[in-house]
Amino acid sequence: MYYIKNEFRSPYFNLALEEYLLRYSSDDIFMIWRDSPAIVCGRGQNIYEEADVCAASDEGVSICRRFSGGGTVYHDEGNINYTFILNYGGDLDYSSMLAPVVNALNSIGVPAEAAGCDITANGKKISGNAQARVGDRLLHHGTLLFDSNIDRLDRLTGERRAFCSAMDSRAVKSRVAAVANIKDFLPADLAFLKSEDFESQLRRLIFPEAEETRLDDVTILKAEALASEKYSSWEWIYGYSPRFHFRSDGVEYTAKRGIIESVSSGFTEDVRESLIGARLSLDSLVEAGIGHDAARLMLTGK
Amino acid sequence: MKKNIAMPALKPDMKEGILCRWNVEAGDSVSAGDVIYEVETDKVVAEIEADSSGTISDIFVEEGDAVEPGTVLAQIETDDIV
Repeated sequence: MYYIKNEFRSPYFNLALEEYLLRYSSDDIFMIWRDSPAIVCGRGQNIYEEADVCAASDEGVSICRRFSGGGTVYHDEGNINYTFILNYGGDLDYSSMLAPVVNALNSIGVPAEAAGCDITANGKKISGNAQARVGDRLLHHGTLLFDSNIDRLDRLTGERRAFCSAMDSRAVKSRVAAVANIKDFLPADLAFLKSEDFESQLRRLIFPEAEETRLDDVTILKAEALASEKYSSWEWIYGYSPRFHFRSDGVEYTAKRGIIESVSSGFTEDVRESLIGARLSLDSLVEAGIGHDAARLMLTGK
Repeated sequence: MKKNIAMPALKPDMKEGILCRWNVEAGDSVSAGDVIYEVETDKVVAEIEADSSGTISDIFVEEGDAVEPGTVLAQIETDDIV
């Protein structure tokens, strides 16, 4: 088992790096990393249903799609991500993957326990986890909310899912959970811990025996290429969304893979026609002849 | 030769898997090893590859459908002679 201390902060790069290591490395890898603020949806989700894409973009929060399944999570520098990439032909299972992380948290006094795919403390979710499999290689990764901006997390994802009834699809849905920061559960003598201290403790607590290695230049270049071709592309982030139906405030349309297929109500006939085939993005909708407010309504349901 | 493509069990106790994405349409030709669809269950995504080359003749299950392991998802007209 190798340990990679990944100090890159770009969510697009980090998500690309995971896929690259899953597909092209043959090593067992344990990695810890953080991202600049980002909303990260699961592979099979409709991003428009999961996140307020307009508010996120206004606030400079990156919008991303990851390789693994599951629901939408929020990353920022107060959230520490961990990744296991393993040669693993066995049955898929969360409990054996979560155990070293739960033990690490317990050892510093956090009342963490595995709850399905999540880790909770006193009933509140502190870690969301997901997996992907390619052949006999398994990617298991998760968030560890340490000192994250929970208000923003709720505003951009949680609250939105609670009120967004404008969109209907068969995409994978996120479960809305009450979340909390690990920092709030630390005993008094560790209350001074900062995110960077916690990040460096985690390696020792989770896999002390893992041999530390650096990312080599080839891996970095390949991951950068994958980040620019795929992970930061419109086609992957938005265009991977399954078909959905939208109805709100007199506007009704259907979109598949982020492209409008039909508009059944709202606007003039000319505008409706020019919307067909348009991408669901602020620029494309405005270019198709509707105002900013109408475009935001179509993207967010409000 | 026509072959069925069926929902795999990603784990022994899998009750159903969601077909989250088709990467092919009926009529597309595929090579063995091409990723033809993606399945999700319990927050695990797996890419499923074609095990033989041929042409996808029919697709029976839509994106978003949750089906039991063994359910026929599609048929492939393989290039195998036998």
